Amino acid sequence: MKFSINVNRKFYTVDVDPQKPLLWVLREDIGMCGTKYSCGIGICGSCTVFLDGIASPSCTLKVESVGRMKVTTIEGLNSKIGRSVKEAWIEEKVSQCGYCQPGQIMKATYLLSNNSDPSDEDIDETMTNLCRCGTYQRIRSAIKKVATNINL
Amino acid sequence: MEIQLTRRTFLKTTTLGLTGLTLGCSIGPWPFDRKFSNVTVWLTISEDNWITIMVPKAEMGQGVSTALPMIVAEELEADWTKVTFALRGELGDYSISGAMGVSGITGGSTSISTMFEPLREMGAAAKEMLVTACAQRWQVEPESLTARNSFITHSTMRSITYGALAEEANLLPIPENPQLKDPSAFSIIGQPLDRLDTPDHIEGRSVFGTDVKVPEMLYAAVRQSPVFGGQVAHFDPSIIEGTTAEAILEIPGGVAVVAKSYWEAEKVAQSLEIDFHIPEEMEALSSEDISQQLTQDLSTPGSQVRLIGDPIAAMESAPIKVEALYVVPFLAHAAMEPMTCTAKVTPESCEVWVPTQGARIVQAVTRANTGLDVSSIEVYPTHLGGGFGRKVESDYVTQAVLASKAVGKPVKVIWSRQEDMQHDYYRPAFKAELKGGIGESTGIISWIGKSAGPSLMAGGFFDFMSTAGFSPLPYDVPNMSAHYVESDFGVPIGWWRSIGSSQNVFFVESFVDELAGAAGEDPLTFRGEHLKNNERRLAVLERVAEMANWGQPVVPGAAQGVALALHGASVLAQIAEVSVDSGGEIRVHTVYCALDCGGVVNPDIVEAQIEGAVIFGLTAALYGEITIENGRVRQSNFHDYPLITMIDAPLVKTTIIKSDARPSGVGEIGVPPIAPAVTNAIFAATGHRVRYLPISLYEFS
Repeated sequence: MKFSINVNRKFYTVDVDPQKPLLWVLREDIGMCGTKYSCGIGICGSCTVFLDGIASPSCTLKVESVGRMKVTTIEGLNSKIGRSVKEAWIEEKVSQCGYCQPGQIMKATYLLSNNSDPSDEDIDETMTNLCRCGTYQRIRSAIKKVATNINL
Repeated sequence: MEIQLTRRTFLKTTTLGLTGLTLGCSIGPWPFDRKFSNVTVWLTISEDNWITIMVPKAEMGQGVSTALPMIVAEELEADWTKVTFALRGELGDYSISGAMGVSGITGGSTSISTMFEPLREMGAAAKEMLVTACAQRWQVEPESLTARNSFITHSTMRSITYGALAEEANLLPIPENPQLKDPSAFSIIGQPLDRLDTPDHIEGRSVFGTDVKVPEMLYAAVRQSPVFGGQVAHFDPSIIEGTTAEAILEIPGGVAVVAKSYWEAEKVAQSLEIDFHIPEEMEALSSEDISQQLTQDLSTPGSQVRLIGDPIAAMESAPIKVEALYVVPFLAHAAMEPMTCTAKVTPESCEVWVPTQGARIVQAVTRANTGLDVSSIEVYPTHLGGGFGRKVESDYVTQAVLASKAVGKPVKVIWSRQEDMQHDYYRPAFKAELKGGIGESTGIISWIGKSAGPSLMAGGFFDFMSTAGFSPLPYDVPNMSAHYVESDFGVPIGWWRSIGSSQNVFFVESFVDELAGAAGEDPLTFRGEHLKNNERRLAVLERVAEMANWGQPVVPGAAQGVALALHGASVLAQIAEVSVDSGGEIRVHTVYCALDCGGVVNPDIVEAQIEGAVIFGLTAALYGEITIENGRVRQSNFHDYPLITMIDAPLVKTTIIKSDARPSGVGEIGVPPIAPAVTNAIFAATGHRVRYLPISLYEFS
């Protein structure tokens, strides 16, 4: 079945099973591999994308449910806050293996877009993505760095 | 073992930041006369002065793709802002022999320690060749030239890029004894430089195993026998009729479904009904059986790993005697990237794109499954979405090779999270029995230890992997013995970040704490009294005590616990500050780490490794447990094999002790001490001694 979906401000027409999750449409049919597969049940956060600006797992979302929602992936994350988050990731030297980091960056951008001065508790509550390399404290520092810059 | 011959080759090479091809200069394979006789690394300098340094070690987050190029760049006097890297398999021209033997494995925290000197020599030799080329071109004395920031400058201030000289330099003989820099002049080594791989990671551009794209590639999902050791008895290939699957084939212990999309393949795999021949002894195996068997094994003599003095006689004479039994479970690696491999097999050749810690093993299994000569097999390593020892194995490589061979097209195998969790090579379950005798104001006079668990080197003369951290002890004890009993349950076991130390340091450091308690002494002072003959260990212990302000936790009501670990020549002490609230909830606030790992290439990467290792070890200590029921793993995903998240992650503070010694490893040493540091703190807080892991088995109230 054909679907036209808006990914990173561009429309892509894909001919796929309506049940196919957005994650695999992005990776296999559109060719954007920055969004990662890890748990497949929507709990680890590696596949986080924005749907109309809201951070959501893409591994459990059927392509037929995407509809007119605007999808943003790590490749298209170029908002002012998104750029600041990516820069803070470099400055705080967050990344180790890097596999979960696109999802972490999406989630952190979502947090900071809705809360320019998150408390530790806010960070704990939103940043539930898993990282097996254990980069959590640097993710926290990077988020705080962006918040400080936003509020200067 | 083959000895590489010196040769020099021109290469057409694409360098990052450029489009099209530039003519570059390749230097190497490189002969090293010292103990690493065939270390080989390729270095490419493009005309526009970008330097690409080949990294023949797996990049799994530990930072080799930055740290190894830093070593070369230092001696090469390279402009670090124009250095990049390329991943290469540790094969052929890139073979390394050394601490890991000829295995070609990235593991054991050995990449820096085995490659430090060879890479310095390589960088220095390349620099000398460039200087000589410049001297010849300008008809000046080499001594009048200075190499710096990828330029060579004459005393007249005339200068030229390395890139402009690369071709001429490449025609020169490779100097046999290049002059190395005095470490006091290092400007790259020792700096907390940004990682070279981060810019691609944060844009989603890095190519992990799951991201490989090959023209005409198909995807495969697998279903392996849920019971360990099971073999396919029967499946109906016609099951794929009417589905989108293109092929179905038997693989060792399971079935692979091939389709144009991974999701389609996985969907069909989920509906498969496969009959397996299940080994009878496995069908009924449970964690309870394993526990009973370990207890029984502990009652057998086992093999002696170490004997110092007369521990039995000393024990008899000891006024204070302590005994304890410790238990740890199987653990999964649970890397965020599940097992994946892409293979393209043709009758003449095979290419394999794979996140692997052992390219040579990949080559060997590919050869075994295709019959091709190694000269027809190419292995392209990708970034690893975590390794932790799991990606030393090659089960997933075999599957991709067999699937591609069967369908005649490139195939990418991806495991579902459930397959990954239930078909791991687990950190083995272990039990250990420890007995200690304490004298009148003489500390430990006898130590008798015995551990039982599956062997990583089964049938070997001496399993130093499984007993690492159990013996020798880090402490001075006049009478000591250690025994090991090999158990076997048919559950696959493997290398798990820090290997034997992951359980043994928990046993030893818990028991030292128990002995300190029995002696009525402070756990830190007690340890120090048994380290009088080891300045480095004592210094690390004293430093961590200062960092944590030992005895005075920052958080009101919190308690501290200490533990010490050794790995290679590295020494690490940790103090965990932990609260146990009235509801029994455990909170690890801060973990202080003092590390002596010799010289340091990139201190920030070292700190990151320690931070990550603490989280990895703490995840296991708090919740990690793989349990077996009817011969199969109960856990299937992160909901029942949870990882620490942000909310439970402690702050890790690391101090690296300055050292002139040569660098030692840091990737694993942070894992083993965290469990005992936390359980020792729990004891200090509550009086409850945690002897079984994970800690979540206990209720504190």
